[in-house]
Amino acid sequence: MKKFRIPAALPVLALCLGVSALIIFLFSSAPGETLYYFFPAVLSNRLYTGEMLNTMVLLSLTGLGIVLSFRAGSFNLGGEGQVYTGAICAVLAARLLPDLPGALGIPVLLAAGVLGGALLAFISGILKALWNVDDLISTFLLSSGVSKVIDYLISGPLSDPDSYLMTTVPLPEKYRLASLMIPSPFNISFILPLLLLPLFHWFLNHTRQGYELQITGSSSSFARHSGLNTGIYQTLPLTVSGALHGLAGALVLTGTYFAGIQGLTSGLGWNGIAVALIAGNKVPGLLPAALFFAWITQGSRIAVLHSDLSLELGAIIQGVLFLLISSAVLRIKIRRGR
Amino acid sequence: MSDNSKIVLELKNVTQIFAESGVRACHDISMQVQGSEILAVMGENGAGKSTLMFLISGFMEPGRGEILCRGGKNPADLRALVGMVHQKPLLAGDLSVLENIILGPEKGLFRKDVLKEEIAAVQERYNLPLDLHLKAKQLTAPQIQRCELIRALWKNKELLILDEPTASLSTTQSEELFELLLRLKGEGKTVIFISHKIHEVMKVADRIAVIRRGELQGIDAKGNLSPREISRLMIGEDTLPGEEPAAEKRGEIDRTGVPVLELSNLGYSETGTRRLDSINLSLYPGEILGMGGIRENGLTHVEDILCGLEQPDTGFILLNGKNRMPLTPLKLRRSGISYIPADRLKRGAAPESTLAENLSVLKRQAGFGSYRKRLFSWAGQFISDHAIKGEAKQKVKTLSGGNIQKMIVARELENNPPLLIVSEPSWGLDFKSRDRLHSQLVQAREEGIAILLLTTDLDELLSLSDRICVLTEGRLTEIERTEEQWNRYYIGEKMTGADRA
Repeated sequence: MKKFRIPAALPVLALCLGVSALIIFLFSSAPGETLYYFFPAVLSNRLYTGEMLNTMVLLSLTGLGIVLSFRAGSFNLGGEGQVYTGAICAVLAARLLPDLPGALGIPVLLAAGVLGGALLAFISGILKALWNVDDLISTFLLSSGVSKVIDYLISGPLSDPDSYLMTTVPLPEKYRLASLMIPSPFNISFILPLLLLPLFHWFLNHTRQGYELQITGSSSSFARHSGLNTGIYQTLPLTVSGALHGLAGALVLTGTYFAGIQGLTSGLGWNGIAVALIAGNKVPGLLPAALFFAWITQGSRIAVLHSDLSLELGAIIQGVLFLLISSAVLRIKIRRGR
Repeated sequence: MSDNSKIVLELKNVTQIFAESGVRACHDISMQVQGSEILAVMGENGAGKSTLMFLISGFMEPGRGEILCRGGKNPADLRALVGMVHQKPLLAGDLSVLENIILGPEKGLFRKDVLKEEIAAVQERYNLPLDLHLKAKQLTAPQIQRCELIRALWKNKELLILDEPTASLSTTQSEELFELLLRLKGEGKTVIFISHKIHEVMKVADRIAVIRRGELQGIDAKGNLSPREISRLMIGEDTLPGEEPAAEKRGEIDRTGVPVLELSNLGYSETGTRRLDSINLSLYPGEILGMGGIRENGLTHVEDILCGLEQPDTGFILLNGKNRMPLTPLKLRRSGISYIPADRLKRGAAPESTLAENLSVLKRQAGFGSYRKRLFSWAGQFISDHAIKGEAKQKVKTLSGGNIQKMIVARELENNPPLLIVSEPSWGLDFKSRDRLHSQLVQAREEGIAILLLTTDLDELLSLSDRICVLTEGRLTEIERTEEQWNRYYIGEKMTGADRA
């Protein structure tokens, strides 16, 4: 017997829409028009839709990373740094191996990104397994530190002498993922979440290792005393989470910006956490959650462009939404848990 | 009883039941505390002593009944009257001793140097030297206690409560503390102290109250109680029905081979206090070795060390004759050893996970295809085979305590381990489940499993064990199987230290 239950996220999403509409009504001289640009306009042309879909792909990958580590009882707050590391590793790979054919080169770039992100998270994971270092802190600190180093690399040793922007040399044409929705950056990478999400869902629910991972997450002391190898389950999920973030970073590079621009992560790491929260930390919820978040992001961008909504106000709306989602979803969870 | 004017505090039918766990910590307790006396509160672990003290000090409010103080029942009056020295350190670790002492809502603006002089004067007066600039987290257990004591004296509390003050003190330190208590009594202060060591209670207390399973068993002047009587009040007279010594029904145990478990010269200290002192024991296949004692007298440390959570300071643990140091929970399990922990909901089970997931750690679900399908069909079978009342998909936290223990025991015995470490197996079980559990343990022994039974339950200890040893203040004493020693009174007196009073 399956009972229909309203997902925890739905009332929160409704609240979010209400609040953003309220802010727009308060501050915009033509609220109707602004609202139009904020919501339906996203589907009005190929550029807007494609950008939204591209963000959705990236967010579903980082969200998956968060869900996976969370199920194992780890918190990955280092998403930003891992995405950034993934991107810069891909830049380095492209510099070191300029002569590969495109069909081989792109996977190599992506693999470099995966490795970079994984390595960064692995450090936090192994620290947790060996010395019980709090992963929440160590992922965050590592990521913040590494981000500054990458900022330096982009503005210093790797910077493009021909550009006035803080950026690395653009990727050669053959290392770029072709757009499927010109002029938007939406590209073939949409297949990745379609493959990876079911794969991880299956892993978590239909394999012994998946179950052991979740037992470790729900009661690490029980897992320890009943002889599960908790060291592995404290290290690997976090590492894979970092790998997924690194993958997203490499995809941003090869699919969206084609060059290592400073700050190219544009909140992918943090927003991945929001997406995971909206999805209720369940893999099947990730795609709709990523869609919602990508839509809001894209909508605010368009509204800023076309209406009298200021850039700051757009950012404020996004910030309010983020706050609402993270606090409200958590609260509903806690109440249900009781 | 003396005249009413001397009564500082009066408890009337105080009952406290914790809603979350349903534990009845105090039941219908009525007593009076008089001015300038030393009242000792005694009882086994979990008897409700600490809860009672929390109620008296105004930390908690009683569920039913009332606590009268200065003729009223205002908890603020209580807090003003009572200074408590806790058993578990309750200091702010990053603040200095001085800051911890002056911490409190009473003062508005203050001058630290003036307060410091005041406190130094208190220290001088009562001879309690302690560096006020040390960080609280650097303190050892006796120093923490001293810090709390200085605070209570400086705030000029009339009623001092000390929760197991001697648990972490050496003999000389205890002597000094008792001298101080007697002096405070001379100055008109009232002292309540909790202890389960009869000999020290007989030395300093004026009156003694004994609590058992949340109920007040008796309160009387020291002169009217003998150590033996106190010991009996503490452990209770009632032998549970339907229990007979199972151990005598069998022949000799072969103790010539290699022991399954051997502890050699094990020692353990915690915050500067010796908790275990050169523990030696050997355990052979097919026997139950019962280790009795009071939880704080080292039994928890033995459990933590044997399950690999803590590392001993000295000595070795040998499994099947091989040195397995440093022991970790994973290593223990890889050696095939089973462990039924006292803390069932943390170590023994994952309450938020399903019954099937809790059983999955046995790794019995071979085959291909979806693990979920295999696991749930296997677990359903296992659950019905072992008559556990629950379903594979049910969360463990929704099960009754007895059923959770049933699940844990069935799981731990399933793999036919060479060694089983059991701690407090019958805590919170009713008679029927208790009997069932005991016969399971005896059955396991008949199959050649070596069992180490850690328990504070005397009846359980006597009815199951082939050999008994008792842990008192970190030392192990073996009980001889003689008429004189092999009974609950002798062991009870050994456990509580009544024999040394």
